Amino acid sequence: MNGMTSLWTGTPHFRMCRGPLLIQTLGVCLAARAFPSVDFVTDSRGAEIADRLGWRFNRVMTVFDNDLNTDGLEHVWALKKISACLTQTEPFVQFDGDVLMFRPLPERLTSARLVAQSLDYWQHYTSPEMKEGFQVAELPSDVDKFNAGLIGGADVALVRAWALYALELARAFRHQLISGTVASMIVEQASFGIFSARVGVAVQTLLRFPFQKDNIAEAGFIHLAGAAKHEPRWIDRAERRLRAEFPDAYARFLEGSKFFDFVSTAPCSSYE
Amino acid sequence: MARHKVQTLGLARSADKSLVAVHYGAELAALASELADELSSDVWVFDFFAVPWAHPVLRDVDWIGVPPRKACPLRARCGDLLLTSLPHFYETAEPIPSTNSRMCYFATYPIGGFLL
Repeated sequence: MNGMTSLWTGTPHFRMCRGPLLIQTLGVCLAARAFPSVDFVTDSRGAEIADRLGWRFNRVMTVFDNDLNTDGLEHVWALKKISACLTQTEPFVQFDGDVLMFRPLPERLTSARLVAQSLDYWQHYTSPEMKEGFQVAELPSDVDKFNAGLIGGADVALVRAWALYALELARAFRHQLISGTVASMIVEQASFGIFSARVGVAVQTLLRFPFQKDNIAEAGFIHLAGAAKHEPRWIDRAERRLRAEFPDAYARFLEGSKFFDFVSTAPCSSYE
Repeated sequence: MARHKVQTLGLARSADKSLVAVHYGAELAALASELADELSSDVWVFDFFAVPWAHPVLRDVDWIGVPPRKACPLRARCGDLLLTSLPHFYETAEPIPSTNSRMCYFATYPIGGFLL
Protein backbone atom coordinates (compact mmCIF):
# COMPACT_ATOMS: atom_id res chain seq x y z
CA MET A 1 0.00 0.00 0.00
CA ASN A 2 1.41 3.36 -1.05
CA GLY A 3 1.31 6.62 0.82
CA MET A 4 -0.12 9.88 -0.44
CA THR A 5 -0.33 13.31 1.11
CA SER A 6 -1.73 16.56 -0.16
CA LEU A 7 -1.52 20.29 0.35
CA TRP A 8 -4.02 22.84 -0.92
CA THR A 9 -2.66 26.35 -0.57
CA GLY A 10 -5.77 27.86 -2.17
CA THR A 11 -7.95 27.48 0.89
CA PRO A 12 -7.96 30.38 3.34
CA HIS A 13 -7.27 27.84 6.06
CA PHE A 14 -3.76 27.43 4.70
CA ARG A 15 -1.27 29.77 6.30
CA MET A 16 2.44 29.89 5.74
CA CYS A 17 3.36 28.98 9.32
CA ARG A 18 6.79 27.62 10.10
CA GLY A 19 5.67 25.20 12.81
CA PRO A 20 3.12 23.18 10.85
CA LEU A 21 5.44 23.08 7.84
CA LEU A 22 8.29 21.81 9.97
CA ILE A 23 6.02 19.12 11.36
CA GLN A 24 4.96 18.26 7.83
CA THR A 25 8.63 18.01 6.85
CA LEU A 26 9.15 15.43 9.56
CA GLY A 27 5.97 13.66 8.46
CA VAL A 28 7.21 13.44 4.88
CA CYS A 29 10.55 12.00 6.01
CA LEU A 30 8.85 9.40 8.18
CA ALA A 31 6.40 8.49 5.42
CA ALA A 32 9.31 7.71 3.10
CA ARG A 33 10.32 5.02 5.58
CA ALA A 34 6.80 3.77 6.21
CA PHE A 35 5.57 3.40 2.62
CA PRO A 36 7.12 1.85 -0.49
CA SER A 37 6.13 4.92 -2.47
CA VAL A 38 4.71 8.33 -1.56
CA ASP A 39 2.82 10.74 -3.83
CA PHE A 40 2.31 14.43 -3.19
CA VAL A 41 -0.84 15.97 -4.62
CA THR A 42 -0.97 19.74 -4.53
CA ASP A 43 -1.09 22.99 -6.50
CA SER A 44 1.77 24.94 -8.03
CA ARG A 45 2.45 26.88 -4.87
CA GLY A 46 2.41 23.71 -2.82
CA ALA A 47 4.90 22.15 -5.21
CA GLU A 48 7.14 25.15 -4.80
CA ILE A 49 6.95 24.89 -1.02
CA ALA A 50 7.81 21.21 -1.20
CA ASP A 51 10.70 21.90 -3.52
CA ARG A 52 12.10 24.73 -1.42
CA LEU A 53 11.75 22.85 1.84
CA GLY A 54 13.31 19.73 0.35
CA TRP A 55 10.41 17.36 0.66
CA ARG A 56 11.13 14.16 -1.27
CA PHE A 57 8.38 12.20 -3.01
CA ASN A 58 8.12 9.56 -5.68
CA ARG A 59 5.63 11.68 -7.59
CA VAL A 60 4.42 15.25 -7.35
CA MET A 61 1.10 16.07 -8.99
CA THR A 62 -0.13 19.67 -9.25
CA VAL A 63 -3.68 18.76 -10.16
CA PHE A 64 -5.16 21.15 -7.59
CA ASP A 65 -4.51 24.06 -9.91
CA ASN A 66 -7.56 23.27 -11.99
CA ASP A 67 -9.24 20.02 -10.99
CA LEU A 68 -12.42 21.37 -9.41
CA ASN A 69 -14.67 24.38 -9.46
CA THR A 70 -14.02 25.63 -5.93
CA ASP A 71 -16.01 28.84 -6.22
CA GLY A 72 -17.79 29.29 -2.91
CA LEU A 73 -16.12 26.20 -1.50
CA GLU A 74 -12.65 27.52 -0.73
CA HIS A 75 -13.31 27.33 3.00
CA VAL A 76 -14.03 23.61 2.84
CA TRP A 77 -10.40 22.71 3.36
CA ALA A 78 -10.94 18.95 3.03
CA LEU A 79 -12.25 19.39 -0.49
CA LYS A 80 -8.95 18.91 -2.28
CA LYS A 81 -7.83 16.28 0.13
CA ILE A 82 -10.79 14.27 -1.07
CA SER A 83 -10.18 15.01 -4.73
CA ALA A 84 -6.56 13.92 -4.27
CA CYS A 85 -7.89 10.39 -3.81
CA LEU A 86 -9.01 10.46 -7.44
CA THR A 87 -5.39 10.59 -8.59
CA GLN A 88 -4.62 7.17 -7.18
CA THR A 89 -4.75 3.94 -9.14
CA GLU A 90 -3.05 1.59 -6.69
CA PRO A 91 -3.92 0.75 -3.07
CA PHE A 92 -3.07 3.77 -1.00
CA VAL A 93 -3.64 5.65 2.18
CA GLN A 94 -3.61 9.41 2.41
CA PHE A 95 -1.95 10.82 5.53
CA ASP A 96 -2.50 14.34 6.81
CA GLY A 97 0.27 16.91 6.97
CA ASP A 98 0.19 16.74 10.76
CA VAL A 99 0.49 12.96 10.92
CA LEU A 100 3.76 11.31 11.92
CA MET A 101 4.10 7.61 11.17
CA PHE A 102 6.98 5.89 12.86
CA ARG A 103 6.02 2.44 11.63
CA PRO A 104 4.63 0.92 8.45
CA LEU A 105 0.97 0.06 8.47
CA PRO A 106 0.16 -3.45 9.69
CA GLU A 107 -1.01 -6.05 7.20
CA ARG A 108 -4.56 -5.92 8.51
CA LEU A 109 -4.70 -2.36 7.16
CA THR A 110 -2.79 -2.76 3.93
CA SER A 111 -5.19 -5.49 2.88
CA ALA A 112 -8.36 -3.71 3.99
CA ARG A 113 -10.73 -2.30 1.40
CA LEU A 114 -11.41 0.88 3.37
CA VAL A 115 -8.98 2.36 5.87
CA ALA A 116 -9.12 5.23 8.35
CA GLN A 117 -7.12 6.38 11.32
CA SER A 118 -9.80 5.75 13.91
CA LEU A 119 -13.33 6.51 14.85
CA ASP A 120 -13.83 10.17 15.70
CA TYR A 121 -15.26 11.66 18.87
CA TRP A 122 -19.03 11.86 18.62
CA GLN A 123 -18.87 15.03 20.72
CA HIS A 124 -17.24 16.82 17.81
CA TYR A 125 -20.50 16.52 15.90
CA THR A 126 -22.95 17.87 18.46
CA SER A 127 -22.77 21.63 18.07
CA PRO A 128 -25.71 23.63 16.70
CA GLU A 129 -23.60 24.54 13.69
CA MET A 130 -22.73 20.90 13.12
CA LYS A 131 -26.40 19.95 13.30
CA GLU A 132 -27.15 22.66 10.78
CA GLY A 133 -24.39 21.28 8.58
CA PHE A 134 -25.93 17.82 8.58
CA GLN A 135 -29.24 19.41 7.59
CA VAL A 136 -27.62 21.33 4.76
CA ALA A 137 -26.01 18.14 3.49
CA GLU A 138 -29.25 16.23 4.09
CA LEU A 139 -27.36 13.55 5.96
CA PRO A 140 -28.17 11.60 9.11
CA SER A 141 -25.95 12.58 12.01
CA ASP A 142 -26.25 9.35 13.98
CA VAL A 143 -23.62 7.49 12.01
CA ASP A 144 -20.03 6.47 12.68
CA LYS A 145 -17.56 9.23 11.89
CA PHE A 146 -13.96 8.44 11.12
CA ASN A 147 -10.93 10.56 11.81
CA ALA A 148 -9.30 10.99 8.42
CA GLY A 149 -5.75 11.56 9.61
CA LEU A 150 -5.39 8.40 7.56
CA ILE A 151 -7.89 7.59 4.85
CA GLY A 152 -7.82 5.29 1.85
CA GLY A 153 -7.91 1.59 1.19
CA ALA A 154 -6.81 -1.36 -0.88
CA ASP A 155 -9.97 -1.22 -3.00
CA VAL A 156 -9.07 1.83 -5.05
CA ALA A 157 -12.29 1.81 -7.04
CA LEU A 158 -14.27 1.85 -3.82
CA VAL A 159 -12.21 4.68 -2.35
CA ARG A 160 -12.64 6.66 -5.55
CA ALA A 161 -16.39 6.03 -5.40
CA TRP A 162 -16.43 7.46 -1.89
CA ALA A 163 -14.41 10.47 -3.03
CA LEU A 164 -16.88 11.22 -5.80
CA TYR A 165 -19.76 10.84 -3.36
CA ALA A 166 -18.06 13.17 -0.87
CA LEU A 167 -17.32 15.79 -3.52
CA GLU A 168 -20.95 15.72 -4.55
CA LEU A 169 -21.96 16.27 -0.93
CA ALA A 170 -19.57 19.19 -0.67
CA ARG A 171 -21.53 21.12 -3.25
CA ALA A 172 -24.28 21.61 -0.67
CA PHE A 173 -21.92 23.89 1.27
CA ARG A 174 -21.24 26.23 -1.62
CA HIS A 175 -21.56 29.83 -0.38
CA GLN A 176 -23.00 28.62 2.92
CA LEU A 177 -22.08 30.43 6.12
CA ILE A 178 -21.26 27.19 7.87
CA SER A 179 -17.60 27.06 8.84
CA GLY A 180 -15.18 25.27 6.58
CA THR A 181 -14.12 22.98 9.38
CA VAL A 182 -17.66 21.87 10.14
CA ALA A 183 -18.31 21.34 6.45
CA SER A 184 -15.04 19.46 6.04
CA MET A 185 -15.74 17.17 8.95
CA ILE A 186 -19.13 16.28 7.52
CA VAL A 187 -18.02 15.99 3.92
CA GLU A 188 -14.97 13.90 4.70
CA GLN A 189 -15.28 12.15 8.04
CA ALA A 190 -19.01 11.64 8.40
CA SER A 191 -19.44 10.77 4.76
CA PHE A 192 -16.85 8.01 5.04
CA GLY A 193 -18.94 6.33 7.72
CA ILE A 194 -22.15 6.79 5.76
CA PHE A 195 -20.56 5.45 2.61
CA SER A 196 -19.08 2.48 4.43
CA ALA A 197 -22.47 1.55 5.85
CA ARG A 198 -24.20 1.95 2.50
CA VAL A 199 -21.80 -0.27 0.60
CA GLY A 200 -21.55 -2.74 3.46
CA VAL A 201 -17.79 -2.58 3.73
CA ALA A 202 -16.33 -2.15 7.19
CA VAL A 203 -13.65 0.47 7.73
CA GLN A 204 -10.45 -0.92 9.18
CA THR A 205 -8.84 1.53 11.58
CA LEU A 206 -5.25 1.83 12.67
CA LEU A 207 -6.16 2.83 16.20
CA ARG A 208 -8.70 1.35 18.54
CA PHE A 209 -11.30 3.62 19.99
CA PRO A 210 -11.44 4.76 22.75
CA PHE A 211 -7.74 5.42 22.41
CA GLN A 212 -5.33 3.38 24.43
CA LYS A 213 -1.75 4.29 25.02
CA ASP A 214 -0.31 0.85 24.28
CA ASN A 215 -2.24 0.64 21.04
CA ILE A 216 -1.01 4.07 19.93
CA ALA A 217 2.56 3.12 20.84
CA GLU A 218 2.30 -0.15 18.94
CA ALA A 219 1.08 1.72 15.88
CA GLY A 220 3.85 4.31 16.21
CA PHE A 221 1.38 6.97 15.21
CA ILE A 222 1.05 10.66 16.04
CA HIS A 223 -1.62 13.06 14.88
CA LEU A 224 -0.93 16.65 15.88
CA ALA A 225 -4.42 17.66 14.93
CA GLY A 226 -6.00 21.06 15.32
CA ALA A 227 -4.10 23.63 17.34
CA ALA A 228 -1.39 21.18 18.45
CA LYS A 229 0.70 21.79 15.36
CA HIS A 230 0.84 25.48 16.24
CA GLU A 231 1.99 24.93 19.80
CA PRO A 232 5.69 25.46 20.56
CA ARG A 233 5.67 22.39 22.76
CA TRP A 234 5.07 20.05 19.81
CA ILE A 235 6.92 22.10 17.24
CA ASP A 236 10.06 22.03 19.40
CA ARG A 237 9.86 18.29 19.81
CA ALA A 238 9.35 17.78 16.09
CA GLU A 239 12.30 20.01 15.33
CA ARG A 240 14.57 18.06 17.67
CA ARG A 241 13.40 14.82 16.10
CA LEU A 242 13.92 16.09 12.55
CA ARG A 243 17.38 17.39 13.39
CA ALA A 244 18.41 14.13 15.06
CA GLU A 245 16.90 11.58 12.69
CA PHE A 246 16.96 13.38 9.36
CA PRO A 247 19.81 15.89 9.51
CA ASP A 248 19.96 16.33 5.74
CA ALA A 249 16.25 17.02 5.54
CA TYR A 250 16.55 19.43 8.44
CA ALA A 251 19.33 21.29 6.68
CA ARG A 252 17.20 21.51 3.54
CA PHE A 253 14.30 22.80 5.59
CA LEU A 254 16.41 25.51 7.17
CA GLU A 255 17.88 26.53 3.84
CA GLY A 256 14.51 26.54 2.10
CA SER A 257 12.89 28.48 4.92
CA LYS A 258 14.95 31.50 3.93
CA PHE A 259 12.78 31.89 0.86
CA PHE A 260 9.57 32.32 2.82
CA ASP A 261 8.10 34.94 5.08
CA PHE A 262 6.41 32.82 7.65
CA VAL A 263 3.40 34.16 9.44
CA SER A 264 2.80 33.91 13.13
CA THR A 265 1.89 30.57 14.61
CA ALA A 266 -0.45 32.20 17.08
CA PRO A 267 -2.91 29.75 18.57
CA CYS A 268 -5.92 29.20 16.44
CA SER A 269 -9.16 27.37 16.86
CA SER A 270 -8.82 23.74 17.78
CA TYR A 271 -10.18 22.55 14.51
CA GLU A 272 -8.43 24.83 12.09
CA MET B 1 -5.50 35.64 46.05
CA ALA B 2 -2.64 34.30 44.04
CA ARG B 3 -3.54 32.95 40.68
CA HIS B 4 -1.57 30.62 38.53
CA LYS B 5 -1.47 30.73 34.82
CA VAL B 6 -2.31 27.64 32.89
CA GLN B 7 -0.22 26.56 29.97
CA THR B 8 -1.80 26.05 26.63
CA LEU B 9 -2.09 22.33 27.12
CA GLY B 10 -4.66 22.92 29.76
CA LEU B 11 -2.36 22.43 32.69
CA ALA B 12 -2.45 24.48 35.80
CA ARG B 13 -0.74 24.70 39.09
CA SER B 14 -3.10 24.99 41.96
CA ALA B 15 -2.37 26.88 45.12
CA ASP B 16 -0.78 23.82 46.65
CA LYS B 17 1.41 23.35 43.56
CA SER B 18 -0.40 20.26 42.41
CA LEU B 19 -0.74 20.03 38.69
CA VAL B 20 -4.20 19.99 37.26
CA ALA B 21 -5.32 18.73 33.91
CA VAL B 22 -8.84 18.77 32.66
CA HIS B 23 -9.90 16.69 29.74
CA TYR B 24 -13.17 16.22 28.06
CA GLY B 25 -15.08 13.06 27.52
CA ALA B 26 -14.55 9.67 29.01
CA GLU B 27 -12.90 8.59 25.78
CA LEU B 28 -9.96 10.82 26.55
CA ALA B 29 -9.15 9.26 29.86
CA ALA B 30 -6.31 7.29 28.34
CA LEU B 31 -4.81 10.33 26.69
CA ALA B 32 -5.15 12.29 29.86
CA SER B 33 -3.22 9.58 31.60
CA GLU B 34 -0.46 10.08 29.04
CA LEU B 35 -0.28 13.61 30.22
CA ALA B 36 -0.08 12.46 33.79
CA ASP B 37 2.69 9.99 33.01
CA GLU B 38 4.65 12.58 31.18
CA LEU B 39 4.44 15.45 33.56
CA SER B 40 4.12 14.38 37.10
CA SER B 41 2.57 11.84 39.33
CA ASP B 42 0.70 14.72 40.92
CA VAL B 43 -1.37 15.50 37.89
CA TRP B 44 -5.05 15.68 38.54
CA VAL B 45 -7.14 14.47 35.67
CA PHE B 46 -10.82 15.25 35.42
CA ASP B 47 -13.36 14.17 32.92
CA PHE B 48 -14.85 17.16 31.16
CA PHE B 49 -18.31 15.99 32.01
CA ALA B 50 -17.51 15.50 35.64
CA VAL B 51 -15.26 18.39 36.58
CA PRO B 52 -15.63 18.98 40.30
CA TRP B 53 -15.76 22.72 40.07
CA ALA B 54 -15.94 23.17 43.81
CA HIS B 55 -12.84 21.09 44.40
CA PRO B 56 -10.22 23.09 46.30
CA VAL B 57 -7.59 22.33 43.73
CA LEU B 58 -9.55 24.19 41.08
CA ARG B 59 -10.42 27.25 43.09
CA ASP B 60 -7.36 29.40 42.64
CA VAL B 61 -6.61 28.58 39.08
CA ASP B 62 -6.69 30.85 36.10
CA TRP B 63 -7.25 28.82 33.01
CA ILE B 64 -6.08 30.33 29.80
CA GLY B 65 -6.35 29.12 26.29
CA VAL B 66 -7.18 30.04 22.78
CA PRO B 67 -9.52 32.95 22.11
CA PRO B 68 -13.21 32.13 22.27
CA ARG B 69 -15.28 31.71 19.21
CA LYS B 70 -18.00 34.17 18.50
CA ALA B 71 -20.67 31.92 19.92
CA CYS B 72 -19.88 31.03 23.48
CA PRO B 73 -23.08 30.56 25.46
CA LEU B 74 -21.40 29.93 28.77
CA ARG B 75 -19.46 33.13 28.51
CA ALA B 76 -22.60 35.14 28.83
CA ARG B 77 -24.07 32.84 31.38
CA CYS B 78 -21.07 32.89 33.64
CA GLY B 79 -19.99 36.47 33.47
CA ASP B 80 -16.25 36.65 33.68
CA LEU B 81 -15.86 32.91 33.48
CA LEU B 82 -14.49 32.31 30.05
CA LEU B 83 -14.61 28.95 28.42
CA THR B 84 -12.55 28.45 25.33
CA SER B 85 -11.81 25.69 22.90
CA LEU B 86 -14.25 23.05 21.83
CA PRO B 87 -17.18 25.43 22.23
CA HIS B 88 -19.58 23.01 20.69
CA PHE B 89 -19.18 20.83 23.74
CA TYR B 90 -20.83 23.42 25.86
CA GLU B 91 -24.32 22.39 25.19
CA THR B 92 -23.59 18.91 26.45
CA ALA B 93 -21.71 20.09 29.48
CA GLU B 94 -23.41 20.65 32.76
CA PRO B 95 -23.90 24.28 33.77
CA ILE B 96 -20.88 25.48 35.63
CA PRO B 97 -21.51 26.85 39.08
CA SER B 98 -19.87 29.89 40.46
CA THR B 99 -16.14 29.51 40.68
CA ASN B 100 -13.18 31.67 41.44
CA SER B 101 -11.58 30.64 38.21
CA ARG B 102 -11.89 33.44 35.72
CA MET B 103 -10.83 31.56 32.65
CA CYS B 104 -11.07 27.96 31.67
CA TYR B 105 -9.48 25.99 28.93
CA PHE B 106 -10.20 22.45 27.97
CA ALA B 107 -7.22 21.04 26.30
CA THR B 108 -6.83 18.58 23.55
CA TYR B 109 -3.84 16.33 23.84
CA PRO B 110 -2.71 15.18 20.40
CA ILE B 111 -2.96 11.51 19.64
CA GLY B 112 0.40 9.90 20.27
CA GLY B 113 1.95 13.09 21.61
CA PHE B 114 3.89 11.04 24.12
CA LEU B 115 5.79 9.39 21.25
CA LEU B 116 7.28 12.66 20.00
